[in-house]
Amino acid sequence: MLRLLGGELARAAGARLASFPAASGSLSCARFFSAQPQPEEEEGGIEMKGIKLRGAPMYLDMQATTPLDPRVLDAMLPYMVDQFGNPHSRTHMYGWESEDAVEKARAQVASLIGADPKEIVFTSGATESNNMAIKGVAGFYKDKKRHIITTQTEHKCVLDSCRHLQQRGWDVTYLPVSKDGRLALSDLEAAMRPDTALVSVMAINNEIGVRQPLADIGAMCRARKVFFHTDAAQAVGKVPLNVGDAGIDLASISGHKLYGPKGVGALYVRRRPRVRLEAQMSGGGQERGLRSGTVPAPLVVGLGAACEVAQREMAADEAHVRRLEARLRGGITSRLQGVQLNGPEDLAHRYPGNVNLSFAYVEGESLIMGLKDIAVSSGSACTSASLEPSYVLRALGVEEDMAHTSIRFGLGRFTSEEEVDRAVEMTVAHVQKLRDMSPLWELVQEGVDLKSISWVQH
Amino acid sequence: MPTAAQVRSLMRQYLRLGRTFPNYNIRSYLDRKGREDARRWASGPPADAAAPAAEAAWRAAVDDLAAFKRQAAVYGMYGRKFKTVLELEHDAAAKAKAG
Ligand SMILES: Cc1ncc(COP(=O)(O)O)c(C=O)c1O
Repeated sequence: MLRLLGGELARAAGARLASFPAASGSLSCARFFSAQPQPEEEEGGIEMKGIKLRGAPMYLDMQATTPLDPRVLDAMLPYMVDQFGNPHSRTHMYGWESEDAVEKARAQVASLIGADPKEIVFTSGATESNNMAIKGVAGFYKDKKRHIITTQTEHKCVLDSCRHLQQRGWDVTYLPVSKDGRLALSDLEAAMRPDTALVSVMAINNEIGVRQPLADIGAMCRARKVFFHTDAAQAVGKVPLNVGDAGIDLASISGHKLYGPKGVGALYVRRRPRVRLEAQMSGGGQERGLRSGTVPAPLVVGLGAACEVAQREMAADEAHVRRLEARLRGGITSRLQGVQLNGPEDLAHRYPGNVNLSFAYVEGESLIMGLKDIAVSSGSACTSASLEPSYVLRALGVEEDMAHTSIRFGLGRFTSEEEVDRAVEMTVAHVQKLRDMSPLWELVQEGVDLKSISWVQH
Repeated sequence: MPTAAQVRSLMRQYLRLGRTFPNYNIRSYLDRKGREDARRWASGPPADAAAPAAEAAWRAAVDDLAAFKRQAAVYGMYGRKFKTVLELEHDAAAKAKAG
Protein backbone atom coordinates (compact mmCIF):
# COMPACT_ATOMS: atom_id res chain seq x y z
CA MET A 1 0.00 0.00 0.00
CA LEU A 2 1.26 3.37 -0.97
CA ARG A 3 1.31 6.04 1.67
CA LEU A 4 1.60 9.66 0.80
CA LEU A 5 1.85 12.61 3.08
CA GLY A 6 -0.20 15.63 2.13
CA GLY A 7 2.94 17.76 2.23
CA GLU A 8 4.85 15.49 -0.12
CA LEU A 9 1.99 15.43 -2.54
CA ALA A 10 1.74 19.21 -2.41
CA ARG A 11 5.46 19.52 -3.17
CA ALA A 12 5.13 17.06 -5.99
CA ALA A 13 2.25 18.91 -7.51
CA GLY A 14 3.53 22.42 -6.96
CA ALA A 15 1.54 25.48 -6.05
CA ARG A 16 -1.67 24.25 -7.68
CA LEU A 17 -2.53 22.47 -4.46
CA ALA A 18 -2.54 25.59 -2.32
CA SER A 19 -6.19 25.04 -1.53
CA PHE A 20 -5.76 21.39 -0.55
CA PRO A 21 -7.88 20.83 2.53
CA ALA A 22 -5.86 19.56 5.47
CA ALA A 23 -8.34 17.12 6.92
CA SER A 24 -9.41 15.06 3.97
CA GLY A 25 -9.85 11.67 5.59
CA SER A 26 -10.68 9.77 2.46
CA LEU A 27 -10.41 10.62 -1.16
CA SER A 28 -14.11 10.95 -1.78
CA CYS A 29 -14.22 13.97 -4.06
CA ALA A 30 -11.48 15.16 -6.34
CA ARG A 31 -12.85 18.64 -6.40
CA PHE A 32 -9.89 20.40 -4.81
CA PHE A 33 -7.26 19.15 -7.17
CA SER A 34 -7.62 20.95 -10.44
CA ALA A 35 -7.11 24.55 -11.36
CA GLN A 36 -9.96 26.84 -12.27
CA PRO A 37 -10.07 27.45 -16.00
CA GLN A 38 -9.26 30.99 -16.93
CA PRO A 39 -12.00 32.91 -18.73
CA GLU A 40 -10.86 33.66 -22.23
CA GLU A 41 -10.87 37.14 -23.66
CA GLU A 42 -13.36 37.62 -26.44
CA GLU A 43 -14.52 40.57 -28.47
CA GLY A 44 -18.18 41.48 -28.63
CA GLY A 45 -19.36 38.59 -26.46
CA ILE A 46 -22.27 38.46 -24.07
CA GLU A 47 -21.92 38.58 -20.33
CA MET A 48 -24.42 36.88 -18.03
CA LYS A 49 -24.04 35.93 -14.37
CA GLY A 50 -20.44 37.07 -14.55
CA ILE A 51 -19.69 34.62 -17.34
CA LYS A 52 -18.57 35.86 -20.73
CA LEU A 53 -20.11 34.03 -23.64
CA ARG A 54 -19.09 34.46 -27.25
CA GLY A 55 -22.53 33.41 -28.53
CA ALA A 56 -25.56 31.36 -27.57
CA PRO A 57 -24.38 27.97 -26.25
CA MET A 58 -25.44 24.80 -28.04
CA TYR A 59 -28.55 23.59 -26.25
CA LEU A 60 -28.05 19.99 -25.07
CA ASP A 61 -30.39 19.95 -22.10
CA MET A 62 -33.59 18.44 -23.52
CA GLN A 63 -34.59 16.82 -20.21
CA ALA A 64 -34.80 20.21 -18.53
CA THR A 65 -37.03 21.54 -21.25
CA THR A 66 -37.43 21.39 -25.02
CA PRO A 67 -37.80 24.30 -27.42
CA LEU A 68 -41.29 24.94 -28.74
CA ASP A 69 -41.74 23.30 -32.13
CA PRO A 70 -42.61 26.11 -34.60
CA ARG A 71 -45.67 24.09 -35.66
CA VAL A 72 -46.86 24.23 -32.06
CA LEU A 73 -46.53 27.99 -31.79
CA ASP A 74 -48.28 28.25 -35.14
CA ALA A 75 -51.25 26.35 -33.71
CA MET A 76 -51.31 28.45 -30.53
CA LEU A 77 -51.11 31.95 -31.96
CA PRO A 78 -54.74 32.24 -33.15
CA TYR A 79 -55.84 31.60 -29.55
CA MET A 80 -53.62 34.42 -28.33
CA VAL A 81 -55.03 36.83 -30.89
CA ASP A 82 -58.70 36.94 -31.89
CA GLN A 83 -59.88 33.65 -30.45
CA PHE A 84 -59.39 34.51 -26.80
CA GLY A 85 -62.71 33.21 -25.49
CA ASN A 86 -63.16 31.36 -22.24
CA PRO A 87 -63.67 27.73 -23.26
CA HIS A 88 -66.31 27.44 -20.53
CA SER A 89 -68.46 30.29 -21.88
CA ARG A 90 -71.63 28.66 -23.12
CA THR A 91 -73.48 31.66 -24.48
CA HIS A 92 -71.46 32.94 -27.45
CA MET A 93 -69.15 32.16 -30.32
CA TYR A 94 -66.00 33.09 -28.39
CA GLY A 95 -66.61 30.36 -25.89
CA TRP A 96 -67.69 27.79 -28.46
CA GLU A 97 -64.61 28.17 -30.68
CA SER A 98 -62.28 27.94 -27.67
CA GLU A 99 -64.11 24.90 -26.40
CA ASP A 100 -63.81 23.22 -29.79
CA ALA A 101 -60.07 23.90 -29.78
CA VAL A 102 -59.68 22.48 -26.27
CA GLU A 103 -61.63 19.33 -27.19
CA LYS A 104 -59.55 18.82 -30.34
CA ALA A 105 -56.43 19.08 -28.19
CA ARG A 106 -57.86 16.57 -25.71
CA ALA A 107 -58.36 14.11 -28.56
CA GLN A 108 -54.79 14.71 -29.79
CA VAL A 109 -53.32 13.99 -26.35
CA ALA A 110 -55.51 10.90 -25.94
CA SER A 111 -54.58 9.56 -29.36
CA LEU A 112 -50.85 9.72 -28.62
CA ILE A 113 -51.18 7.42 -25.59
CA GLY A 114 -54.04 5.24 -26.80
CA ALA A 115 -56.61 6.71 -24.42
CA ASP A 116 -60.15 8.01 -24.72
CA PRO A 117 -60.43 11.83 -24.74
CA LYS A 118 -62.72 11.61 -21.69
CA GLU A 119 -59.77 10.18 -19.75
CA ILE A 120 -57.61 13.30 -20.18
CA VAL A 121 -57.57 16.06 -17.54
CA PHE A 122 -55.62 19.21 -18.37
CA THR A 123 -53.29 20.53 -15.68
CA SER A 124 -50.46 23.03 -15.34
CA GLY A 125 -47.80 20.38 -15.93
CA ALA A 126 -46.40 17.11 -14.71
CA THR A 127 -45.81 18.46 -11.21
CA GLU A 128 -49.50 19.14 -10.78
CA SER A 129 -50.46 15.88 -12.49
CA ASN A 130 -48.22 13.90 -10.13
CA ASN A 131 -49.61 15.71 -7.08
CA MET A 132 -53.16 15.17 -8.29
CA ALA A 133 -52.65 11.46 -9.00
CA ILE A 134 -50.88 10.58 -5.77
CA LYS A 135 -52.73 12.78 -3.31
CA GLY A 136 -56.00 12.34 -5.21
CA VAL A 137 -55.99 8.52 -5.16
CA ALA A 138 -54.71 8.41 -1.58
CA GLY A 139 -57.41 10.82 -0.46
CA PHE A 140 -60.25 9.04 -2.19
CA TYR A 141 -59.43 5.53 -0.97
CA LYS A 142 -58.08 6.48 2.45
CA ASP A 143 -60.70 4.59 4.46
CA LYS A 144 -59.56 1.21 3.16
CA LYS A 145 -56.05 1.74 1.81
CA ARG A 146 -53.20 3.57 3.46
CA HIS A 147 -50.08 2.35 1.67
CA ILE A 148 -48.22 3.72 -1.36
CA ILE A 149 -45.23 2.28 -3.20
CA THR A 150 -42.77 4.33 -5.21
CA THR A 151 -39.04 4.32 -6.01
CA GLN A 152 -36.08 6.27 -4.67
CA THR A 153 -35.31 7.77 -8.06
CA GLU A 154 -38.63 9.46 -8.78
CA HIS A 155 -38.86 13.16 -9.58
CA LYS A 156 -38.94 15.44 -6.54
CA CYS A 157 -42.63 16.20 -6.99
CA VAL A 158 -43.53 12.51 -6.63
CA LEU A 159 -41.28 12.04 -3.62
CA ASP A 160 -42.58 15.19 -1.97
CA SER A 161 -46.21 14.25 -2.58
CA CYS A 162 -45.48 10.90 -0.89
CA ARG A 163 -43.70 12.67 1.96
CA HIS A 164 -46.75 14.89 2.39
CA LEU A 165 -48.97 11.82 2.77
CA GLN A 166 -46.51 10.14 5.11
CA GLN A 167 -46.75 13.11 7.44
CA ARG A 168 -50.52 12.61 7.45
CA GLY A 169 -50.48 8.95 8.40
CA TRP A 170 -49.96 7.03 5.17
CA ASP A 171 -47.26 4.39 4.82
CA VAL A 172 -44.90 4.86 1.90
CA THR A 173 -42.36 2.35 0.59
CA TYR A 174 -39.49 3.85 -1.40
CA LEU A 175 -38.05 0.97 -3.40
CA PRO A 176 -34.35 0.89 -4.24
CA VAL A 177 -33.13 0.43 -7.81
CA SER A 178 -30.28 -1.57 -9.30
CA LYS A 179 -27.00 0.10 -10.18
CA ASP A 180 -28.26 0.91 -13.66
CA GLY A 181 -31.46 2.37 -12.24
CA ARG A 182 -33.95 -0.43 -12.92
CA LEU A 183 -36.63 -1.48 -10.50
CA ALA A 184 -36.68 -5.21 -9.71
CA LEU A 185 -40.17 -6.67 -10.05
CA SER A 186 -39.47 -9.03 -7.15
CA ASP A 187 -38.89 -6.00 -4.91
CA LEU A 188 -42.18 -4.51 -6.02
CA GLU A 189 -44.02 -7.77 -5.45
CA ALA A 190 -42.54 -8.13 -1.97
CA ALA A 191 -43.58 -4.59 -1.06
CA MET A 192 -47.25 -5.02 -2.00
CA ARG A 193 -49.74 -5.23 0.85
CA PRO A 194 -53.49 -5.76 1.06
CA ASP A 195 -53.85 -2.05 1.87
CA THR A 196 -51.65 -0.79 -0.99
CA ALA A 197 -53.61 1.86 -2.84
CA LEU A 198 -51.12 3.01 -5.45
CA VAL A 199 -47.83 2.17 -7.13
CA SER A 200 -46.09 5.16 -8.70
CA VAL A 201 -43.09 4.43 -10.95
CA MET A 202 -41.79 6.82 -13.59
CA ALA A 203 -41.63 5.76 -17.23
CA ILE A 204 -38.26 7.35 -18.06
CA ASN A 205 -35.96 8.91 -15.50
CA ASN A 206 -35.08 12.54 -16.16
CA GLU A 207 -31.46 12.25 -14.98
CA ILE A 208 -30.25 8.96 -16.43
CA GLY A 209 -32.90 8.02 -18.98
CA VAL A 210 -33.56 4.56 -17.55
CA ARG A 211 -36.85 3.04 -18.70
CA GLN A 212 -38.81 1.08 -16.16
CA PRO A 213 -40.64 -2.14 -17.16
CA LEU A 214 -44.06 -0.49 -17.25
CA ALA A 215 -46.04 -3.36 -18.77
CA ASP A 216 -44.74 -5.82 -16.16
CA ILE A 217 -45.48 -3.39 -13.34
CA GLY A 218 -48.92 -2.70 -14.80
CA ALA A 219 -49.76 -6.40 -14.99
CA MET A 220 -48.60 -6.96 -11.42
CA CYS A 221 -50.70 -4.07 -10.15
CA ARG A 222 -53.76 -5.14 -12.10
CA ALA A 223 -53.54 -8.68 -10.70
CA ARG A 224 -53.56 -7.25 -7.17
CA LYS A 225 -56.15 -4.55 -7.83
CA VAL A 226 -53.66 -1.80 -7.04
CA PHE A 227 -53.71 1.39 -9.11
CA PHE A 228 -50.62 2.07 -11.21
CA HIS A 229 -49.51 5.66 -11.79
CA THR A 230 -46.57 6.55 -14.00
CA ASP A 231 -44.82 9.89 -14.32
CA ALA A 232 -44.45 9.83 -18.08
CA ALA A 233 -43.18 13.40 -18.46
CA GLN A 234 -39.95 12.27 -20.14
CA ALA A 235 -41.56 9.49 -22.16
CA VAL A 236 -44.72 10.75 -23.83
CA GLY A 237 -43.97 11.94 -27.34
CA LYS A 238 -40.47 10.42 -27.27
CA VAL A 239 -41.14 6.69 -27.11
CA PRO A 240 -44.31 4.73 -27.90
CA LEU A 241 -46.48 4.54 -24.80
CA ASN A 242 -49.91 2.94 -24.77
CA VAL A 243 -51.84 3.07 -21.52
CA GLY A 244 -53.87 0.01 -22.45
CA ASP A 245 -50.92 -2.22 -23.35
CA ALA A 246 -48.91 -1.14 -20.30
CA GLY A 247 -51.81 -1.47 -17.84
CA ILE A 248 -51.43 2.14 -16.71
CA ASP A 249 -54.23 3.66 -14.63
CA LEU A 250 -52.85 7.19 -14.30
CA ALA A 251 -50.14 8.91 -16.37
CA SER A 252 -48.62 12.38 -15.99
CA ILE A 253 -47.71 14.38 -19.07
CA SER A 254 -45.80 17.67 -19.37
CA GLY A 255 -46.10 20.04 -22.32
CA HIS A 256 -42.60 21.46 -22.24
CA LYS A 257 -40.84 18.11 -22.45
CA LEU A 258 -42.33 17.28 -25.84
CA TYR A 259 -41.73 20.54 -27.74
CA GLY A 260 -44.93 22.07 -26.34
CA PRO A 261 -45.41 25.09 -24.08
CA LYS A 262 -44.52 25.39 -20.40
CA GLY A 263 -47.26 25.64 -17.80
CA VAL A 264 -49.49 22.97 -19.28
CA GLY A 265 -49.73 19.24 -18.91
CA ALA A 266 -52.26 16.47 -18.53
CA LEU A 267 -53.20 13.59 -16.33
CA TYR A 268 -54.57 10.44 -17.88
CA VAL A 269 -57.18 8.90 -15.55
CA ARG A 270 -58.53 5.49 -16.51
CA ARG A 271 -62.33 5.13 -16.78
CA ARG A 272 -62.60 1.34 -17.05
CA PRO A 273 -61.93 0.07 -14.44
CA ARG A 274 -62.61 3.45 -13.01
CA VAL A 275 -60.03 5.34 -10.99
CA ARG A 276 -61.54 7.86 -8.58
CA LEU A 277 -59.65 10.91 -7.35
CA GLU A 278 -60.17 13.51 -4.70
CA ALA A 279 -59.88 16.90 -6.38
CA GLN A 280 -56.96 19.00 -5.20
CA MET A 281 -58.35 22.30 -6.45
CA SER A 282 -61.72 23.73 -5.39
CA GLY A 283 -63.65 26.05 -7.64
CA GLY A 284 -65.82 26.14 -10.73
CA GLY A 285 -65.70 22.40 -11.31
CA GLN A 286 -63.94 22.44 -14.69
CA GLU A 287 -62.39 19.23 -16.06
CA ARG A 288 -65.21 17.11 -14.63
CA GLY A 289 -64.68 18.59 -11.21
CA LEU A 290 -61.12 17.27 -10.99
CA ARG A 291 -59.30 20.47 -11.76
CA SER A 292 -61.13 23.72 -11.26
CA GLY A 293 -59.86 26.83 -13.00
CA THR A 294 -60.31 28.17 -16.52
CA VAL A 295 -58.55 25.85 -18.95
CA PRO A 296 -55.75 27.86 -20.63
CA ALA A 297 -56.93 27.30 -24.18
CA PRO A 298 -53.77 28.56 -26.00
CA LEU A 299 -51.50 26.35 -23.89
CA VAL A 300 -53.77 23.35 -24.21
CA VAL A 301 -53.93 23.85 -27.99
CA GLY A 302 -50.12 23.87 -27.93
CA LEU A 303 -50.00 20.65 -25.93
CA GLY A 304 -52.41 19.03 -28.37
CA ALA A 305 -50.41 20.18 -31.39
CA ALA A 306 -47.18 18.96 -29.76
CA CYS A 307 -48.75 15.53 -29.24
CA GLU A 308 -50.02 15.43 -32.81
CA VAL A 309 -46.59 16.35 -34.23
CA ALA A 310 -44.89 13.86 -31.88
CA GLN A 311 -47.16 11.07 -33.04
CA ARG A 312 -46.30 11.77 -36.69
CA GLU A 313 -42.60 12.35 -36.13
CA MET A 314 -41.86 9.77 -33.45
CA ALA A 315 -40.19 7.21 -35.70
CA ALA A 316 -38.02 9.84 -37.42
CA ASP A 317 -37.18 11.52 -34.09
CA GLU A 318 -36.22 8.23 -32.49
CA ALA A 319 -33.97 7.23 -35.38
CA HIS A 320 -32.32 10.67 -35.31
CA VAL A 321 -31.75 10.62 -31.55
CA ARG A 322 -30.29 7.10 -31.75
CA ARG A 323 -27.80 8.23 -34.39
CA LEU A 324 -26.81 11.20 -32.24
CA GLU A 325 -26.43 9.05 -29.14
CA ALA A 326 -24.05 6.67 -30.89
CA ARG A 327 -22.04 9.63 -32.19
CA LEU A 328 -21.84 11.35 -28.82
CA ARG A 329 -21.12 8.35 -26.64
CA GLY A 330 -18.82 6.69 -29.14
CA GLY A 331 -17.02 9.98 -29.78
CA ILE A 332 -16.30 10.61 -26.12
CA THR A 333 -15.56 7.09 -24.92
CA SER A 334 -13.30 6.28 -27.87
CA ARG A 335 -11.11 9.28 -27.07
CA LEU A 336 -11.14 9.36 -23.28
CA GLN A 337 -10.45 6.76 -20.62
CA GLY A 338 -12.24 6.82 -17.31
CA VAL A 339 -15.70 7.70 -18.63
CA GLN A 340 -18.67 5.99 -17.02
CA LEU A 341 -22.22 5.87 -18.35
CA ASN A 342 -24.78 6.37 -15.60
CA GLY A 343 -27.81 4.27 -16.48
CA PRO A 344 -28.17 1.17 -18.64
CA GLU A 345 -25.91 0.61 -21.66
CA ASP A 346 -28.67 -1.31 -23.42
CA LEU A 347 -30.95 1.02 -25.34
CA ALA A 348 -33.83 -1.36 -24.70
CA HIS A 349 -33.69 0.02 -21.16
CA ARG A 350 -32.59 3.62 -21.74
CA TYR A 351 -33.97 6.50 -23.76
CA PRO A 352 -31.06 7.37 -26.11
CA GLY A 353 -31.72 11.10 -25.90
CA ASN A 354 -30.36 11.03 -22.36
CA VAL A 355 -26.63 10.39 -22.07
CA ASN A 356 -25.37 10.85 -18.52
CA LEU A 357 -21.59 10.47 -18.30
CA SER A 358 -19.19 10.75 -15.37
CA PHE A 359 -15.55 11.66 -15.89
CA ALA A 360 -12.97 10.23 -13.51
CA TYR A 361 -10.06 12.35 -12.20
CA VAL A 362 -11.52 15.76 -12.91
CA GLU A 363 -13.38 18.11 -10.63
CA GLY A 364 -17.08 18.73 -11.17
CA GLU A 365 -17.20 22.47 -11.02
CA SER A 366 -14.18 23.02 -13.26
CA LEU A 367 -15.67 20.59 -15.73
CA ILE A 368 -19.01 22.36 -16.09
CA MET A 369 -17.48 25.85 -15.93
CA GLY A 370 -15.16 25.05 -18.82
CA LEU A 371 -18.00 23.82 -21.01
CA LYS A 372 -19.80 27.13 -21.24
CA ASP A 373 -20.34 26.78 -25.00
CA ILE A 374 -22.65 23.86 -24.40
CA ALA A 375 -25.80 24.06 -22.28
CA VAL A 376 -25.87 20.83 -20.28
CA SER A 377 -26.88 19.76 -16.78
CA SER A 378 -24.60 18.42 -14.13
CA GLY A 379 -25.28 15.77 -11.52
CA SER A 380 -23.03 17.77 -9.31
CA ALA A 381 -24.47 20.27 -6.93
CA CYS A 382 -21.00 21.77 -6.52
CA THR A 383 -22.20 24.88 -8.29
CA SER A 384 -25.12 25.36 -5.89
CA ALA A 385 -25.00 26.03 -2.18
CA SER A 386 -25.05 22.39 -1.16
CA LEU A 387 -22.35 19.85 -1.84
CA GLU A 388 -24.83 17.01 -2.08
CA PRO A 389 -24.63 15.14 -5.37
CA SER A 390 -27.80 14.03 -7.12
CA TYR A 391 -29.99 11.68 -5.09
CA VAL A 392 -30.69 9.69 -8.23
CA LEU A 393 -27.00 8.95 -8.81
CA ARG A 394 -26.64 8.17 -5.11
CA ALA A 395 -29.50 5.68 -5.32
CA LEU A 396 -27.61 3.93 -8.13
CA GLY A 397 -24.59 3.68 -5.87
CA VAL A 398 -22.47 5.98 -8.05
CA GLU A 399 -19.40 6.98 -6.03
CA GLU A 400 -19.44 10.53 -4.81
CA ASP A 401 -16.48 11.74 -6.86
CA MET A 402 -18.07 10.31 -10.00
CA ALA A 403 -21.45 11.80 -9.15
CA HIS A 404 -19.80 15.20 -8.89
CA THR A 405 -18.41 14.95 -12.41
CA SER A 406 -21.54 13.72 -14.12
CA ILE A 407 -22.83 15.57 -17.14
CA ARG A 408 -26.20 14.92 -18.72
CA PHE A 409 -26.28 15.46 -22.47
CA GLY A 410 -29.87 15.80 -23.68
CA LEU A 411 -30.51 15.20 -27.38
CA GLY A 412 -33.68 15.76 -29.34
CA ARG A 413 -35.58 16.61 -32.50
CA PHE A 414 -33.72 19.87 -33.10
CA THR A 415 -30.20 18.75 -32.14
CA SER A 416 -27.84 18.61 -35.12
CA GLU A 417 -25.04 16.14 -35.79
CA GLU A 418 -22.69 19.09 -36.02
CA GLU A 419 -23.62 20.16 -32.48
CA VAL A 420 -22.92 16.69 -31.19
CA ASP A 421 -19.55 16.59 -32.95
CA ARG A 422 -18.53 19.95 -31.50
CA ALA A 423 -19.78 18.95 -28.04
CA VAL A 424 -17.61 15.82 -28.26
CA GLU A 425 -14.55 17.85 -29.29
CA MET A 426 -15.09 20.44 -26.57
CA THR A 427 -15.71 17.86 -23.85
CA VAL A 428 -12.73 15.72 -24.80
CA ALA A 429 -10.39 18.72 -25.04
CA HIS A 430 -11.56 20.14 -21.74
CA VAL A 431 -11.36 16.88 -19.81
CA GLN A 432 -7.86 16.30 -21.21
CA LYS A 433 -6.82 19.81 -20.19
CA LEU A 434 -8.11 19.35 -16.65
CA ARG A 435 -6.43 15.98 -16.35
CA ASP A 436 -3.13 17.39 -17.61
CA MET A 437 -3.25 19.79 -14.69
CA SER A 438 -4.26 17.13 -12.18
CA PRO A 439 -1.67 15.43 -9.97
CA LEU A 440 -4.14 12.58 -9.44
CA TRP A 441 -4.26 11.86 -13.15
CA GLU A 442 -0.45 11.83 -13.17
CA LEU A 443 -0.48 9.16 -10.47
CA VAL A 444 -3.07 7.13 -12.35
CA GLN A 445 -0.93 7.34 -15.49
CA GLU A 446 1.97 6.01 -13.45
CA GLY A 447 -0.15 3.03 -12.54
CA VAL A 448 -0.97 3.99 -8.96
CA ASP A 449 -4.29 2.66 -7.72
CA LEU A 450 -5.77 5.69 -5.99
CA LYS A 451 -8.02 3.55 -3.83
CA SER A 452 -4.92 2.10 -2.21
CA ILE A 453 -3.69 5.47 -1.03
CA SER A 454 -4.27 6.34 2.59
CA TRP A 455 -4.21 10.04 3.12
CA VAL A 456 -2.36 11.14 6.19
CA GLN A 457 -3.44 14.16 8.10
CA HIS A 458 -0.84 16.69 9.20
CA MET B 1 -51.64 11.34 -54.24
CA PRO B 2 -49.00 13.89 -55.22
CA THR B 3 -47.19 13.67 -58.52
CA ALA B 4 -43.42 13.22 -58.62
CA ALA B 5 -43.10 16.88 -59.61
CA GLN B 6 -45.17 17.97 -56.61
CA VAL B 7 -42.98 15.93 -54.29
CA ARG B 8 -39.80 17.44 -55.79
CA SER B 9 -41.19 20.93 -55.47
CA LEU B 10 -42.20 20.49 -51.83
CA MET B 11 -38.86 19.00 -50.87
CA ARG B 12 -37.01 21.82 -52.63
CA GLN B 13 -39.03 24.27 -50.57
CA TYR B 14 -38.12 22.44 -47.35
CA LEU B 15 -34.45 22.56 -48.26
CA ARG B 16 -34.65 26.24 -49.21
CA LEU B 17 -36.32 27.09 -45.89
CA GLY B 18 -33.62 24.94 -44.29
CA ARG B 19 -31.12 27.54 -45.52
CA THR B 20 -33.07 30.69 -44.72
CA PHE B 21 -35.01 30.06 -41.47
CA PRO B 22 -33.73 32.51 -38.83
CA ASN B 23 -32.81 29.80 -36.28
CA TYR B 24 -29.86 27.43 -36.55
CA ASN B 25 -31.56 24.38 -35.03
CA ILE B 26 -34.72 24.71 -37.07
CA ARG B 27 -32.66 25.14 -40.24
CA SER B 28 -30.90 21.89 -39.47
CA TYR B 29 -34.24 20.18 -38.77
CA LEU B 30 -35.85 21.41 -42.01
CA ASP B 31 -32.85 20.29 -44.01
CA ARG B 32 -32.99 16.83 -42.45
CA LYS B 33 -36.76 16.56 -42.85
CA GLY B 34 -36.55 17.64 -46.50
CA ARG B 35 -33.98 14.96 -47.24
CA GLU B 36 -35.67 12.19 -45.24
CA ASP B 37 -39.10 12.89 -46.70
CA ALA B 38 -37.69 13.09 -50.23
CA ARG B 39 -36.17 9.63 -49.72
CA ARG B 40 -39.45 8.31 -48.36
CA TRP B 41 -41.55 9.67 -51.23
CA ALA B 42 -38.99 8.65 -53.82
CA SER B 43 -39.81 5.00 -53.20
CA GLY B 44 -42.95 5.56 -55.27
CA PRO B 45 -46.67 5.42 -54.51
CA PRO B 46 -47.55 3.19 -51.54
CA ALA B 47 -49.55 -0.01 -51.79
CA ASP B 48 -53.30 0.44 -51.65
CA ALA B 49 -53.57 -0.50 -47.99
CA ALA B 50 -51.09 2.21 -47.04
CA ALA B 51 -52.60 4.84 -49.34
CA PRO B 52 -54.77 6.66 -46.75
CA ALA B 53 -51.82 6.98 -44.37
CA ALA B 54 -49.59 8.19 -47.18
CA GLU B 55 -52.21 10.71 -48.25
CA ALA B 56 -52.42 12.02 -44.66
CA ALA B 57 -48.64 12.19 -44.41
CA TRP B 58 -48.49 14.18 -47.65
CA ARG B 59 -51.11 16.63 -46.39
CA ALA B 60 -49.23 17.02 -43.10
CA ALA B 61 -45.99 17.71 -44.97
CA VAL B 62 -47.72 20.45 -46.99
CA ASP B 63 -49.38 21.96 -43.88
CA ASP B 64 -46.14 21.80 -41.89
CA LEU B 65 -44.26 23.70 -44.59
CA ALA B 66 -46.87 26.47 -44.51
CA ALA B 67 -46.58 26.66 -40.71
CA PHE B 68 -42.76 26.80 -40.86
CA LYS B 69 -42.97 29.59 -43.45
CA ARG B 70 -45.26 31.64 -41.20
CA GLN B 71 -43.05 31.00 -38.19
CA ALA B 72 -39.97 32.16 -40.10
CA ALA B 73 -41.52 35.63 -39.89
CA VAL B 74 -42.16 35.24 -36.14
CA TYR B 75 -38.57 34.12 -35.52
CA GLY B 76 -37.36 37.00 -37.67
CA MET B 77 -39.12 39.42 -35.33
CA TYR B 78 -38.71 37.74 -31.96
CA GLY B 79 -35.70 35.45 -32.33
CA ARG B 80 -32.49 35.98 -30.41
CA LYS B 81 -30.44 38.87 -31.68
CA PHE B 82 -27.03 37.24 -31.28
CA LYS B 83 -25.71 34.12 -32.91
CA THR B 84 -24.95 30.67 -31.58
CA VAL B 85 -21.36 29.57 -31.08
CA LEU B 86 -21.63 27.30 -34.12
CA GLU B 87 -22.80 30.12 -36.36
CA LEU B 88 -19.90 32.24 -35.15
CA GLU B 89 -17.52 29.42 -35.96
CA HIS B 90 -19.06 29.07 -39.43
CA ASP B 91 -18.68 32.82 -40.00
CA ALA B 92 -15.06 32.73 -38.86
CA ALA B 93 -14.31 29.76 -41.11
CA ALA B 94 -15.94 31.47 -44.11
CA LYS B 95 -13.97 34.64 -43.44
CA ALA B 96 -10.71 32.73 -43.17
CA LYS B 97 -11.46 30.97 -46.46
CA ALA B 98 -12.32 34.21 -48.22
CA GLY B 99 -8.90 35.55 -47.38
C1 LIG C 1 -39.83 13.07 -14.73
C2 LIG C 1 -40.39 14.44 -14.50
N1 LIG C 1 -41.51 14.60 -13.78
C3 LIG C 1 -42.06 15.80 -13.58
C4 LIG C 1 -41.48 16.96 -14.07
C5 LIG C 1 -42.12 18.27 -13.80
O1 LIG C 1 -42.83 18.71 -14.93
P1 LIG C 1 -43.48 20.14 -15.02
O2 LIG C 1 -42.35 21.10 -15.23
O3 LIG C 1 -44.38 20.05 -16.20
O4 LIG C 1 -44.23 20.41 -13.77
C6 LIG C 1 -40.30 16.83 -14.80
C7 LIG C 1 -39.60 18.01 -15.32
O5 LIG C 1 -38.95 18.76 -14.64
C8 LIG C 1 -39.75 15.55 -15.02
O6 LIG C 1 -38.62 15.40 -15.72
